[in-house]
Amino acid sequence: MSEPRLQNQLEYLAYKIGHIGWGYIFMYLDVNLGTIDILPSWAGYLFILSALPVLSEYEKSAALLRNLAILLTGWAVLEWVMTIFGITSAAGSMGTLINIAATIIGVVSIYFHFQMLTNLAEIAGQLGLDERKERLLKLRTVNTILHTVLAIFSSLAFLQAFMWLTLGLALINFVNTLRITICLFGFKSDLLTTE
Amino acid sequence: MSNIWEFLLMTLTGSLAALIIIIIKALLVDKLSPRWQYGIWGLLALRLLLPVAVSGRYILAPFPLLTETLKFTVEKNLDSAYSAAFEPIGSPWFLPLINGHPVSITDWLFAVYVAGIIIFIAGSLISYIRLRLMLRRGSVPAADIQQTISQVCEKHALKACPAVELDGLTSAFVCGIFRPVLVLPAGNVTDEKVILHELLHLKHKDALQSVFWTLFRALHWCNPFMHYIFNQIGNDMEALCDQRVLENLEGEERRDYGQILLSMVNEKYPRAAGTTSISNGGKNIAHRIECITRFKKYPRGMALVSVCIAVMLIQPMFIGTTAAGLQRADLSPSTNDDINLYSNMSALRLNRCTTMAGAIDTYVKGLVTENGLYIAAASPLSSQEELMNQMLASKADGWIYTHLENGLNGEPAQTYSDFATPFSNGYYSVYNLKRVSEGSSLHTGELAIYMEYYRHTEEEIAQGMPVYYEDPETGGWLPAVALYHITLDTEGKHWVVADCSEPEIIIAETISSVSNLAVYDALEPVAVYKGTGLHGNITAPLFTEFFVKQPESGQQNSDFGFWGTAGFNTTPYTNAQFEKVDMSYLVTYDFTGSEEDLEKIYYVTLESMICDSEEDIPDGSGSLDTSGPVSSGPAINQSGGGSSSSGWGYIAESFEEGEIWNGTISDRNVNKFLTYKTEFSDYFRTDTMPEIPLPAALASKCYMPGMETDFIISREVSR
Repeated sequence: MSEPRLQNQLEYLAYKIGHIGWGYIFMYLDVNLGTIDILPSWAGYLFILSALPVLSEYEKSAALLRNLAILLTGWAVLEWVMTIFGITSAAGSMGTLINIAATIIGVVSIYFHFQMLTNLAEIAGQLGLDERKERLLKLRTVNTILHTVLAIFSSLAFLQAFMWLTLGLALINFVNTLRITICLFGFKSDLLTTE
Repeated sequence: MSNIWEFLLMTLTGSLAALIIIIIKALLVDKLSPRWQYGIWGLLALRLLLPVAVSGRYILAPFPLLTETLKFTVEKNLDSAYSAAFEPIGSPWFLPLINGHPVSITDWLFAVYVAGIIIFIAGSLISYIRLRLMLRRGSVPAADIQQTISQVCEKHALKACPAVELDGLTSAFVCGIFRPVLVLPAGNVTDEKVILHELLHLKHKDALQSVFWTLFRALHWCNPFMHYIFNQIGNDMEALCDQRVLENLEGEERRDYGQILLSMVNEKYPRAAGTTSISNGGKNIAHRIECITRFKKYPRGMALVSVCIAVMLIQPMFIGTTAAGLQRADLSPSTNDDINLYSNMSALRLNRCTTMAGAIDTYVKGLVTENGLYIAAASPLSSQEELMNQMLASKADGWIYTHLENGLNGEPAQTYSDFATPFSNGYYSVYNLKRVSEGSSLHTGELAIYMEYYRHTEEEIAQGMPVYYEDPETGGWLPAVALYHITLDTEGKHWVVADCSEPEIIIAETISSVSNLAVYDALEPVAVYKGTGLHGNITAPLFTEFFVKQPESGQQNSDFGFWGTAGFNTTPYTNAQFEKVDMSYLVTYDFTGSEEDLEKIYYVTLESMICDSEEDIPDGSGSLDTSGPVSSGPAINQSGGGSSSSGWGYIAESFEEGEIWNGTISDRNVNKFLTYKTEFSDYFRTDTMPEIPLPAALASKCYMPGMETDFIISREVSR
């Protein structure tokens, strides 16, 4: 592979990693105009979906995330539409279906982010960015644990009494997500400055 | 479980849990290791072992409510021995238990179900015994085969077991749990990888696990979906064993292992409890070969996400989501159908009151809103049928089914501004709540519901009386209080209002002060304090008043009742807590001196204070009102009163010249209250009533000019 082409590929990878960074911004930041979230999570997943083919060129297992990304995008669209129409909960069989789907989506989401950050870390390792790899792995681990703990907190009524603890965890989660986003843009920058 | 409904609920809940797991597994099939793929079924096993619907919470779908409604609809017309229409579903034990002879169709269905379990288990047992008997006809393998087994054991650090060769077998298997035997097909050379597979089964006690799953299969024998699930579990167990084999093999050996599996595609599946076999049917083997093609050694980091996913499923699988919800009265006639009532009655059986305060709150709100469902939610199960029939009967009078007459004939106090205390604490309270006897769960109390206006009866109105009772002086409508004697008890883990009397209506004499409501006159005190002084005696009956915690102001709902739109909260809180206990007493000083002394008294003050403990009893010194008559002009029985900052309640009376004091002075004080926000909060952290200790004593000081101040310590003399 010639050097110019390699440089071109790296630039493209950097561009797509930037997409993933934007994906995180869309997923975790909500800016609402009335009931409309103008930074919808589904747009974030679309950014990530667009980056997966490039990631899979470096890490084959990233290709396995495509179907999950489509599923998560679909769910995010549904949530976004429901919020626009002010539907916060549904009763009857529809409510049951949404409950079941939300449980499954929660599990899929945990795995999806874990695997994607693992793949990104592995790619960083392949490109000799060991420090970036370690940082991504650490952030991935913290992200997975935090999301699990927060899911437990939000589902157990008696834990919600510890409001400050829940708020503290939510804040830590926000900071960790911010760090992931910064790390991803840092990764992009690393790739663009790699000679 | 003891009836068909509990089985139905258990198998529906298990099926849903299995469905969720299988969907997640399908989504992550090529992503997580076979260890996770099999291990996640452990959650299902736990789910099947744990009782369902005991708490009324449900797993994502409201099966408890659906099953309860179905049970009620069917059982109300039956006289079943195993289940009752008004007994909620909920068994703490997952194994079936038959009590008595079947009577109804549903009893017989349960009997058939239990018979099916016995037949299923007996069938499995017979298969196993026949297999063991067949093994007796087997022969000891040749020395070279024995050597192969030893080599496999040595190479992979595995423990061997006795081996036999049997004619007519197509593949090897391990049979037995306590005395396992490796069974090999006679006349064929068994590949060492097949032996490795079976010895790995042996190492991980997979035969024992297969017995475990067979027992669950027996319990759900009539649920085809669960059969499918248990087949999947068996397949995942084999796939995990394949993974373990592949982890022990290298390069070409792995490919050879796949070839061996391929050669078994057309073999039959000899499934039997207590055995494990490498060959588990063509379709399953095809799936396992797919797994083998994906084989890889999963990195350690995957353990983290595997565990996190399992943890994420704990809440929906075991803790459940919101309970079915006690449905609030919907006063729209569109809901006036029997099935809706059955569903509501079922919902309330699943959402019974978990605290004493919750039972009181739910019952009171039932009375106030005339909602029979709320009353039923706080009533014993034995009274449910009668309550339901009363509700159904109200339809004939044009009411919707939730209607029950409350007999109040008045409008509950809606706003705090209408009256001073006790209305500032809400529109109801319970006086003198107490345990009937030591160790008993029975409690009694006097429920007081305050009303802004009290109506004349229809007969009185027909005779020309105004709609409301009126103040003779101002013409304003009079407040009233309805007093009910209530008995509270536990029913299992729940609290109920076991009995409630007809209301005693006490109407205020004037509108000017709520204290005109002679509530205390109608009450028996919880204790009486008495003491003797230099010139007189103290008698002080003591009353307690309990208040249930309500949402903060502003959270009142907008129920529409006969009073108009409510300005107070009418939503029942089945798990409410007590918020405050007031302690009030009516202290009376009776002068016992001579008539001559009495004639000299033109001014008298009485101060009193509750003493929590002996240490709190004052020594009699300190301030005392000796300032003389409260009014300089002539006055009869003119009095002043209040309470000092030091906690002393105070009242004074003066008499004009020529007037003679009758020798008695009384004061009512509510200067002792305990709330959950204070150092007494520990008393309120309970599902029952706060056991507030009664005061050690009541200290009183009575001052009469020209006499030594009478300082009296009164002690409790009765309860």
